[in-house]
Amino acid sequence: MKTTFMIGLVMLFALSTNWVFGQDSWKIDSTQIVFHISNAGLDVEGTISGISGNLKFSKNKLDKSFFAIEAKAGTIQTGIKLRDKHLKKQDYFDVERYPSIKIESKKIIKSKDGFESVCAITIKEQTKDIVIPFTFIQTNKKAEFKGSCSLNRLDFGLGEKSLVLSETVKIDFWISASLVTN
Amino acid sequence: MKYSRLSIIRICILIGAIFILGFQLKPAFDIPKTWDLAEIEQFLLPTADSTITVTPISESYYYSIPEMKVYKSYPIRLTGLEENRKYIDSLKALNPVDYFQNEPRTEEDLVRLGEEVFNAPIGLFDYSEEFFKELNESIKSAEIPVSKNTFPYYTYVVDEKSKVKVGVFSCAMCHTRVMPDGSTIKGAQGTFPMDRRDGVAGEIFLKSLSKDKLAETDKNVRTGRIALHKAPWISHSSQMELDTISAARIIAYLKAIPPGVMLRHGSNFNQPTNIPDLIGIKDRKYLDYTGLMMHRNIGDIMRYAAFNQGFDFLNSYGGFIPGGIDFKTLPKPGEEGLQRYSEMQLFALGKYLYSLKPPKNPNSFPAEMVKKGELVFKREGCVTCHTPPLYTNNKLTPVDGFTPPASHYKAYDIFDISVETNPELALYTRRGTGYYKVPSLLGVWYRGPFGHSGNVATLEDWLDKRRLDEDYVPTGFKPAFAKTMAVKGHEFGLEISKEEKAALIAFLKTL
Repeated sequence: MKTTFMIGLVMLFALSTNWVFGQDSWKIDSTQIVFHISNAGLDVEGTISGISGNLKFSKNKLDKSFFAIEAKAGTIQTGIKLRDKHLKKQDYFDVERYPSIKIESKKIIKSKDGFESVCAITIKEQTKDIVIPFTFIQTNKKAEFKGSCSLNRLDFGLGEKSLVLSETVKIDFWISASLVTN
Repeated sequence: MKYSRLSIIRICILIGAIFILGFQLKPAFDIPKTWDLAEIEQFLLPTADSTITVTPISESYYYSIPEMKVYKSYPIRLTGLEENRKYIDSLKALNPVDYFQNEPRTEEDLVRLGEEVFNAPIGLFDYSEEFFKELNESIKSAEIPVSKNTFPYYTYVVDEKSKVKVGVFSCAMCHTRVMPDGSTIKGAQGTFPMDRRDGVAGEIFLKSLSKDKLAETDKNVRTGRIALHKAPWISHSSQMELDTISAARIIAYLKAIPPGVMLRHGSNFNQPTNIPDLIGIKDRKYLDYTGLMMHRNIGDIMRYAAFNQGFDFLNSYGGFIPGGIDFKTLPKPGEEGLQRYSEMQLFALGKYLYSLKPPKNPNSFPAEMVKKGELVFKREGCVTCHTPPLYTNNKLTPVDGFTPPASHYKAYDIFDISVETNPELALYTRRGTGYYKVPSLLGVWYRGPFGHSGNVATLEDWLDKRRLDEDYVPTGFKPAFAKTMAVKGHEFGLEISKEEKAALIAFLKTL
């Protein structure tokens, strides 16, 4: 009886892990996150790096796919040293208190041009849902995730209302990954 | 009840008189109270060292000080001696004109009278021909820029019949700019090198002094400078030096201050202040380069003028009173000739300052060049702090070595990044708050030198990356005893091409 119970428990555990992890797992090889914001009518481009996280994705098991990614806010670069320094301070990213930017998928669905994910993005402990459309191209055991989205910086306490700085930030991302398990 | 005809006429006259009197007593303007301690508490920013409490004089003390009178001023003409004698005689024949004998009734009256307050000296001494001769000599020896045949920084005042006095320390003394063509701009960054003039005069005096008088002179000059500059709670070498400094060394410091820069009371020898442009002051949120005083309304302009025309000397800085007896005790109100502006005078001054308009910009650059310069201005990120249309975001930037306390983020407008300029004025002086304000770029075409201590003479120098080098010779204020000095910080626009730099400067000179 005891043995049967233990086998049942192990099977249940195996089944449950398969339920969660029963899709392709990807290791992030390299990333590029570029953001754009209009400042006095001119496009300012910047980057954020230090990306890590879990990436589980199979295009035919979308209901079981998910990702949870973190970026390091302190890596922000815009081409002007003092501006970067300011963006790390309290009135923008406040990187001492909030070193990470977190993105977690809540739902991934197929779209006309690829996929769409409803994600919870967390910056400075403010969490908002945003929709991120992306494409997925797999070549053997390598894959590329590519997409873009927009957010309102004021939703996350990034600066304040400004006469010249737009509230909308457009983010383009590209992730290159290697297949780990399936 | 019957009234006689005479009684009815009497009643009518009485009613009429009450009506007229009532109308006259009704205040024409809503004038804020200058010395309102509740307002002053918010208006004054704390010192960089927040353990030091600044206590201004009480309301009762302030209002028990006699009001000054604003008499008509007359220009100081730079003519020959004989012609000047005739001019002085003609002034002696005039009656004193007290501008505020009648209350102003309209906004236009206020602005007009405010200009007279701006011109009105707070220091007077009897005219003598000796003064006139010395003035002419000092114009040459201290290289004082003067306008066409006039010395625009002082005035003559007739405050009693047949007496002519020389008036000094008006607002106009520091805020009058003489342009290269000899024209003047009232309210702009001034060009009177008062400190240099004092240094040159002091040097002559010191040379004439016998050796046995030297120690006493050192002591007297030092005491005066302690009142002007000492902040005893600061242990920086520039503050410590004040305790033992000699007259000769003070003179060397004074001679180093160029036009446009001032060894303002509350600043210090190697941390002078750029003289601010008052044109456009209505739109500035902070006053002084260190943002020492807030500007929320005209009442704050009135407070600024009251404090800076003398009453900040009576502040107690943790027990140290710069203008106090032995730096410890307040003099009795009215002693030592202390006078205050009336509320109406300060209100009129504020209205005049609000009315100041920039002069017509004579610059003309090709439209393409200006457009390109504007693009560079945006691309290099200048626009973030120098945001149009005011070309300032009206904020305070903390200096290196100062961390704003959490409460400041709610109380003040803080742009939380240091632009890494020399922090000494903001940290080691009485006017130091730990911040520099973001200055407006409007009117830079008629201004200079630049930087909070006026270290560079021109915009070209400001955008020259060689200023960051230790072997740089500052083109504006160069500290005494220094042969070279890097003008550090604000490293924007330093790496752009020569062509882009020319375009950027062209754009700035159109503002």
